[in-house]
Amino acid sequence: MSHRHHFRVGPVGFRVASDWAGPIADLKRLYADYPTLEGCAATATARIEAARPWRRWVRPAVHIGGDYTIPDALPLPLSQGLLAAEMAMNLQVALGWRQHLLLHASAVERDGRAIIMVGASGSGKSTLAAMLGEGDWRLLGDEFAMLGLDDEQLSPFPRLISLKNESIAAMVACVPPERLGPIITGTPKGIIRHLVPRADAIARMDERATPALLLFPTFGGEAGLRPVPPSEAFMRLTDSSTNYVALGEPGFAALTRLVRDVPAVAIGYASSDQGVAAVEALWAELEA
Amino acid sequence: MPATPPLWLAPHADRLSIFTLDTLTAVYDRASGQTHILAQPLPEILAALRDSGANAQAIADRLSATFDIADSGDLHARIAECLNELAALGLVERA
Repeated sequence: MSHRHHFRVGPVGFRVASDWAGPIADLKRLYADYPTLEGCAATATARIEAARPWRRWVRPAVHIGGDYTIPDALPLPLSQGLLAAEMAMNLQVALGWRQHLLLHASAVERDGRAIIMVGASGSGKSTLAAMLGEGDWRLLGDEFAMLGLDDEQLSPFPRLISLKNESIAAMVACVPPERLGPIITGTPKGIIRHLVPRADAIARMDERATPALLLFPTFGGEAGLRPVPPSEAFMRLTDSSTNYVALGEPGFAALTRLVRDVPAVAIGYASSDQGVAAVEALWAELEA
Repeated sequence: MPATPPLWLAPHADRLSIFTLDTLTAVYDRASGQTHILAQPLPEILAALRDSGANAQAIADRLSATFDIADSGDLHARIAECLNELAALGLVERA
């Protein structure tokens, strides 16, 4: 493969290779401010390659490859090449990473303390994190919260934020165009547009944070909040982790410590602004 | 002659990591790598078996000595049911 890029996001060194120039050009532009691997080996290798050799040219179809693959995954059209690259990178981390407990969650930080937001796709966790990350918060990550196995610290993993459908317009209005990726239409999740995290999130990607609040947001639900008992938080977090089973006992120990030490709350909200206000109110209460 | 009630054994203490979450308890089984979430009284039964094997009646006696348990006559049957649940999880076995 002739097109390549490598860069580091938090603890993960990525090496991405592609059969086509386009997706790599997008990655180079959007990850321009991220550190290089500085001569170190990559910890995750992702490839996007032609589904069949001739599909490099004829109705180009992108297949996700790397150390880990999903054999039955349908190829994506080349117009979704950046999405394929991001998915390939996600997959390598989701299935291969063992240095932290990975929670499928977004996370933000203020004064060294972090909110971990856990929810299924569509819960609004990405949009909430993106909006908070444009305000008084530092974005730690949009896709994975990386919890230390020994020290209960969260390592930032500030990848591109994947904005979807309605949340795109709200963010486009408040960030400069150079922080936005191409508009990708017709994906299984609708329209997707990537957002580069704010400069402080990238510059401080090695600065860890202490989890202070576990939040389970539900977008579109009735407004309100409900304390979540540790047992429910534990079960929901094991469900949302991609490597809990693989980690064995260290994962169990890290997760039980987290739910023991950090309060958990479920919130419902009807609009993103309402969600942000609810998070700020909760945080103020926590600090009081 | 009545059948001898089965004797139940718990795993060696080193095998399990037990963490009380709230009314539920998380148990990590080092032998299988599985995590189990147990509701009361399963953790208490597991604890009652920790030092030596016992049959359901002996477990009922041990629990009654520690907890204020209302026995409406079916305590023995309830404990036998719980032991079967624990056995299905691989956390106790018949001697």
